[in-house]
Amino acid sequence: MALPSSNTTISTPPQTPNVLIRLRSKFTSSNLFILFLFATITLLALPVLTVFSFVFEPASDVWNHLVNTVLSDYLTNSLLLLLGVAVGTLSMGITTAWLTSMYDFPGRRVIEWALLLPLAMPAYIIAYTYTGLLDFAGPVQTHLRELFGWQYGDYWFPEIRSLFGAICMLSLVLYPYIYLLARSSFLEQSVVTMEAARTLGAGPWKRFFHVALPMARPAIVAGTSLALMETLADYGTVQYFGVSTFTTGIFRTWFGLGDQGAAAQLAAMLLGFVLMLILLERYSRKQAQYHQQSSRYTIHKRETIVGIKGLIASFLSFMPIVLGFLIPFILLTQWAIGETIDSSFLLLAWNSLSLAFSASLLALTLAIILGYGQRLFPTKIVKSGVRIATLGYAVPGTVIAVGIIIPLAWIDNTIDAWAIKTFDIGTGLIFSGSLFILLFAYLVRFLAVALGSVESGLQTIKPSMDDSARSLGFTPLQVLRKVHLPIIRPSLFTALLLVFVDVLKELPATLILRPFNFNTLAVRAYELASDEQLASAAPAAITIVLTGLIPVILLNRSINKSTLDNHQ
Amino acid sequence: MSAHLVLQDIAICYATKTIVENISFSLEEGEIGCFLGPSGCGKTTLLRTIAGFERPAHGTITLRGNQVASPSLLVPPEKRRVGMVFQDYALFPHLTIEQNIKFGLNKQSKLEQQQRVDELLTLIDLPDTKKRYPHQLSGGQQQRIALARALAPKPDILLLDEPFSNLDVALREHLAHDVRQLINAEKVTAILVTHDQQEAFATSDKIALLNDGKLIQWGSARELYEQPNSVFSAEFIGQGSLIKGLVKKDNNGVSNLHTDVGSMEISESIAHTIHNNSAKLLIRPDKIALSNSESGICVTLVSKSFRGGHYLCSLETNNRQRLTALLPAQNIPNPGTQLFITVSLPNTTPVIP
Repeated sequence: MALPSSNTTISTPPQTPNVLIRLRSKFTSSNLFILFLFATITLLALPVLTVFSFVFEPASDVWNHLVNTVLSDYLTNSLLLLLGVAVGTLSMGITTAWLTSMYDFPGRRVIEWALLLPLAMPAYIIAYTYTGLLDFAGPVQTHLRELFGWQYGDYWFPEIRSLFGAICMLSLVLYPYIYLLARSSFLEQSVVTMEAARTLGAGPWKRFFHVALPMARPAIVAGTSLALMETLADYGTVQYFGVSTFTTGIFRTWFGLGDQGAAAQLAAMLLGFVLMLILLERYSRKQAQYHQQSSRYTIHKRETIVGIKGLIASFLSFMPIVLGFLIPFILLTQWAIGETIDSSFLLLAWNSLSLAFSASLLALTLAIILGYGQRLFPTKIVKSGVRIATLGYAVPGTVIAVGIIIPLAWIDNTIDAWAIKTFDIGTGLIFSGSLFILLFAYLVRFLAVALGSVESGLQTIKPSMDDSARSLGFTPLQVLRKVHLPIIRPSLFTALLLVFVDVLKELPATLILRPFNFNTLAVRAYELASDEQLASAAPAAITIVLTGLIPVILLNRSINKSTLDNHQ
Repeated sequence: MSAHLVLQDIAICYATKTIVENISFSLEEGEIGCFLGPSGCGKTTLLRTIAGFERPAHGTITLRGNQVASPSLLVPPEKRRVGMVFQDYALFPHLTIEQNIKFGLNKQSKLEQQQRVDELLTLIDLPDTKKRYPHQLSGGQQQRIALARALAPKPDILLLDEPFSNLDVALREHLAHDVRQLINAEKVTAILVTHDQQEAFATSDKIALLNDGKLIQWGSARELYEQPNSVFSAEFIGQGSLIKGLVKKDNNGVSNLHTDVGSMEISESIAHTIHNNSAKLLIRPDKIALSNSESGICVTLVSKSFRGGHYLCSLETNNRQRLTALLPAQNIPNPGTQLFITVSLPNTTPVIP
């Protein structure tokens, strides 16, 4: 803060009286920026604050009813879901990360990147494809019946639409978070340290359990907390499988029982869980700093395993790809081929794409302002303000929706009442009934994604570059335009793309906040699937999955690049 | 009794690229050896091969009489009883100092482990760091812990890869001295890799001078300084100037090397190695003095840089041969001036073929 204002003081002509300088410096661009920043933060933090404010509201009848009936279900189901997904993602994520980073086996190169593919598969889509595959009328059970001549009730088959099914579905698409973080930890941190362990006489098992795993622990914990945040945010899968969790409970309380207050109170409880995960993630990242060791030669050599052992390694690391991507993708493609694409589908696509594009553009603009602002004024207040503004990435869409609609509806109603009183004309729902509310929600939820890319781009520009441009006579805004933005163009593109795809996939917030009669691909796919029209949902679903593949490919390229850099 | 560590005609290749070749030397028990050379000369690769991380493409390595490496044999590092101190120390960040040092001690009882940790921490003068974590220590302290960890299992050989390169200069010299004392106290055979000759001189009994994957010279620091066997050794070790000269036999059949700065008789054994009658003399800066009279050799002062009490002067003879001289700070004129010098040529002056 002090820096630009002192600059203005210096550049002010000497004849200006001191008092004037001080007055003027109160209205410098820096102060304006801080003002803008805090306005933005307040707006973005509004949903979470709204939800939390309901913690102090007196309990309504509906709330008491919830406590006496379904609340314990929500709690147990959510906790079991978290536990199950943790076990599932950890076992898949760590095994695959360890195998692909330490060993070379048949197909390793392809498997290494293909393990990221399930990231493109939204959980609610994989859930309904597996339902189509595994339920009573699906091809698997039909074939079994034909093969063995069984009738209904003759045999036991696992019920996919269950808590266990939801755990499997979520684990299959969320394990890449752990795979990604654990793998980069295995690859980057332990190379020299593992060599040190070898010279001290440690064999492969001791190296894994005493060195590699504990050293990767912060990364693994961070990955797990990300996966669990997604689990808590999931609405589509659990709703489709009929598992009552907090997210479905919020929906039911709001729309079924019509009690906004009780819904917000449920949301606040859910937020409590999320908060614990955020703290866990932050803490582990901090720990991870100590665990990073730079080293000049990290020529990473994989041990080659051949024969039966090699095949087992291939099989183990290929299974998550088959189950988490290939099977559902092939099924969806088959279903989609049988469908015709009509004008209503094109309208859906247009709705989705234009909405996603506007949201990503908005998020990018805001991310540039916040990212560059942080660089200009690297004070504690600004930094923590930006952190608060980006907390939304961890907040489930349902919670954001509840937290947004309550204040906006109140504003709308107030304006409407005032207009009727003064002009005799109602204004209707200006904010909460329009696309504005959706865009707002997307910004709250996905700004962090855009900011992450912009920040990592800005980090590659040395501060001395700012200084040299400034010393050559450019204002901070000119420096941004002439130096930073051209350099970080790839990061800007990534930010745009990531938000775009996230918005396209987003389900619960869109479901609650969309204006009347406005549909998107995600909403339509989900509605059709809920009505058991699985095949009709396929074109929309496959569009979402294919778009989701783009960032996965990008991610993969950036990983390859960074590992290449390490090998030099 | 045979030597403690023997390398026999070692060559190491990555894919088709040869990193080092024709490396042979042996180290006696308790000796400290050193791989010295510019970056990229293959010294670290050679060290990693002794540790067991790389497989030689040719030759054998024998440690305490047991062959540990050959093109067909690779005893893995964990079975080799080598202790290694890595360039960036590679301390286990998730373990305390005590746990780090104990890491290689799993075959002993708890009490013995405890005693060994205490003994080493006292030896490296960091007795109060047991419960701390590596990131809480300074670079120099981490370096000593890494050394203690490598020494803890009493390895057959201790390998140090540029152990001081991450430290500042002042600390370096101090630690190099400490490390030598520690290694001697533990009576361990050691090899150190460095590109810094001062470090090599301060720590080592034997130095392997490497360049471009080849062993140029093997000997003690004094031998390398006083009898460089090649232009590379002469230029890499210490300061000095190489002055070209012609070898002529006098009437008595004795070979003499005639140069701009004087003539010197050379022994028959050296004369044998000389081709085309052309050889070089290595003149160290301290062998040059200002001459009071004009009877000396006339040179031009090209440049001078102050070294506290002395100037390091670059001189040029009339035949445009360069000399570096360390001259007392008094009476040094400005560059461009002519000076008269005398060059002392004792018969130990190195002759480079």
